[in-house]
Amino acid sequence: MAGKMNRCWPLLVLLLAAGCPKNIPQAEIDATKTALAGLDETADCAPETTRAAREMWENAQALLREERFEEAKTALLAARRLAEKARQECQEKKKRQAAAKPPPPAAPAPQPAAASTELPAGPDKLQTVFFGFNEARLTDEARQRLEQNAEYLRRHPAVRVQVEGHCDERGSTEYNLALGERRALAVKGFLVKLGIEPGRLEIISYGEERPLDPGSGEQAWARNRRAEFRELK
Amino acid sequence: MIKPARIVVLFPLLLLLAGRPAAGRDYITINDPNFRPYPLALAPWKDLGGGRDIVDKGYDILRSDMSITGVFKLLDPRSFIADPRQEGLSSASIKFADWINVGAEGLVKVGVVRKGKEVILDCHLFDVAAGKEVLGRKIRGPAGDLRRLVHTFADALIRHFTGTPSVFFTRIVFAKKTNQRTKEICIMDFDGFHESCVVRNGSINLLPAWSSDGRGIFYSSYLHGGPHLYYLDLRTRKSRVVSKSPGLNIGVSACPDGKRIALTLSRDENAEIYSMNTDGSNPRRLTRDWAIDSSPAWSPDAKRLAFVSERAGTPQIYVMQADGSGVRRLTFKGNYNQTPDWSPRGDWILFNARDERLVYDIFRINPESGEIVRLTQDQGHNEHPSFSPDGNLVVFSSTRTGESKLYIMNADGTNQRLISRRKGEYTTPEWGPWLEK
Repeated sequence: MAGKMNRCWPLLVLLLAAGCPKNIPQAEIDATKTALAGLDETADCAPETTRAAREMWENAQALLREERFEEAKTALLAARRLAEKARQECQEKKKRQAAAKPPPPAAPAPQPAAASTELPAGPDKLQTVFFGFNEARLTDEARQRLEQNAEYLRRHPAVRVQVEGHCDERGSTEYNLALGERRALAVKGFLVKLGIEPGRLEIISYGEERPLDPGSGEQAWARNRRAEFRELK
Repeated sequence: MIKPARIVVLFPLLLLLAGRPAAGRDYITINDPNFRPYPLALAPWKDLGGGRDIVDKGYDILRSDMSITGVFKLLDPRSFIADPRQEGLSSASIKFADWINVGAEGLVKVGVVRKGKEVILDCHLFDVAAGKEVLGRKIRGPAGDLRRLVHTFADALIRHFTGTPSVFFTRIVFAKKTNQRTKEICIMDFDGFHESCVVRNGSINLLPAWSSDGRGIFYSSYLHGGPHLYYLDLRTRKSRVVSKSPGLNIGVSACPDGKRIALTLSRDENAEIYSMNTDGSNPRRLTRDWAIDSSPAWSPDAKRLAFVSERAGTPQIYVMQADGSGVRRLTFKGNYNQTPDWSPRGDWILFNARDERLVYDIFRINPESGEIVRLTQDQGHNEHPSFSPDGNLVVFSSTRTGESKLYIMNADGTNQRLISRRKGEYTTPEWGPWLEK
């Protein structure tokens, strides 16, 4: 992959030497090169995102060759973001391994689980749980999180919550509304089994209408297949 | 798995036999395997006084209307050899040999007169081989209404050739995402013009469906949680609640009998299909299965419903009687089949499938034989198909240029064209019925 990247340099140099119009986004190209320099280190701990970053970089190069500079800029930016994401994923993975308690994949949002296990008070907010494609089954990881959420609800007996079921963008609007509801119901059912009064748990499905991550691709989809909690006032 | 298939041309046309009375004429009919687009020449419009700025605009509207139907082969004006300055609008002034020689069987001529704000379109259709006029219309109206005036002539042409009304006065409803938090319900003409958003309340509004008389729209909204089901009266622009049972109240299909609707409710904590009166009264549960059942679509005779169920593990298309009995699985290929829509002639059910490459495309299946035809391929994700009221065209959403936009195509998958014209994410289109005038 690195070899492929190198092969393209002469082309870029050529483009520049040929006195191309000044709108070659040189600053963006340089910034992206710098950002992508670390990709060799993330190849093992975040393989998919690393691959995505490299592919995006190749896209950008193709666009530069075609002098589609505005589109290239967008691709360069996307490549930088993906590289950054890969770095974050690796960091999280390390953190997780250190804490020896695996929080959910692809959830770059602040992750209180690792820290909170050290606090005797337990988690201080309700955590989102994630699902597989076309799945409403609770993973082991989701169950762990829901046990912590149940604990939170026991410690705050006045709190009523709405469980929101969400889906990724794939599939029909209608089916996803039904699937999101299934997810919310699965969460509610589990919490009730853990002793939470059903009357404290409302459910609503938003289907694919309220993504956490508006992007497309497996990373975004994994984050969007979820059940979220909202405290009702 | 559903494989890319060769697109089969299905719809049909018999030659116009000019001069015979309408009752005995052979119309362009459906399901004729010998279909051949009718070669039609649209002569450049003639300015008969004051219409110079209208002739080109009007010509383009007519050409667009005629080409959308897929019924005609519109001849290239650059090939025309007749001298438009020499020829008039009467058969006596036309050298029909010049039109035969470029391959035309029909010839359309329009003259324009403009008096102040009024426009008069002097419209003629000629049978080239017979050398005589077979249709003449004078259409007048305000110049600002040019699109409607041209649609009126185009409609007369379609009625002449096919014996059925055209889609030129039908409309399409859809949901449009304007930002991350809101979705509006909007309507536009069949060709994407005159878009207007009729439900915009700052909330998420979803899955619009026409009432069977075309006078109102059923839609679901999160305005007060739910989502609940509402009915918008297009004349008063007022919405009323139709159904707000706990959970989902979504996905209406209006029964062709005008009295009932089918929809998905989850008041028993599982998505099931119900039918109810159009005002929400007398709900009846039609499915009983601990699986997701959704997306009902009436057959044109109102006797059956197609729907989606994942009772066999993955979403598939099923058919049942209107009372919920006699459930039969229709699709066995693919593992993600959704959003059925029954053709007005009853012969096909459109649906959306995820193929072996995980791409969403549009297919149709014959509800009796199970024959499947693929309609879209290699053009982004294509979803939520809906038949035009004559069954000849299909509207659907596609991500082929990035953001989801609306397209129409012939019912055999040919002639695909973008119709949505503005910014925003266009989803879940439904083609409205013919309106009674």
